[in-house]
Amino acid sequence: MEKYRKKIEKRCRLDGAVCAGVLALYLVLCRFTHTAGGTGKDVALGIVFGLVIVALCTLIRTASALRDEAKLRAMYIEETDERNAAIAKESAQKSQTVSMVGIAAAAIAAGFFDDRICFALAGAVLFSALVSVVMTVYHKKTM
Amino acid sequence: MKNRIQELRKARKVTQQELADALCVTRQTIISLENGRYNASLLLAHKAAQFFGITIEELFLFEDDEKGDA
Repeated sequence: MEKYRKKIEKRCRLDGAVCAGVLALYLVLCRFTHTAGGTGKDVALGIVFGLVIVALCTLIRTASALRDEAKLRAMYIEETDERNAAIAKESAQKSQTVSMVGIAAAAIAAGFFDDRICFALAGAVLFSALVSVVMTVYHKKTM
Repeated sequence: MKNRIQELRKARKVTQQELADALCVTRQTIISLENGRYNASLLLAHKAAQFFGITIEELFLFEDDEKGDA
């Protein structure tokens, strides 16, 4: 449990760093980019707030678990439960396939309207495929 | 795979939560195991068998038709 406590403490620090980093990145980009504006900037602000809220919620949850041994044990069981891990693994594999097919379909559709969007989506599919191949090769060598 | 977890748990008057706590899993995992919806890993099977003081073969009933499964 002491090992897990250290892991949680590390996670708390990481959450704080994510909050600060994302906010700093947004402020720096706002300061040094003058061309961006309108909807794009609003969407970026939405993403920043989304990330910060998620990081803050995790931070509050982990910080309260660190103060309460029962909560920490419950959190440990919840995170290390093998059925939960199996569900997450199964969901991740399927959602990755569905996402890639969806983005590829969107890239094809976008090709008829806007070249930039088509290339951006195609790039996202290629990047996902590349990450997937690299991960598979890595796990084949380590398992 | 069938198992005798529910039968042995009830015989020993242990609740699902108590068993879950002892095996370091969630209660939902115990429910799924008892219903046969989830097959335990070797590690969990070993822990469960140890908890009940029997062997894995006595706790988990490996049927002939499952032997050919990949």
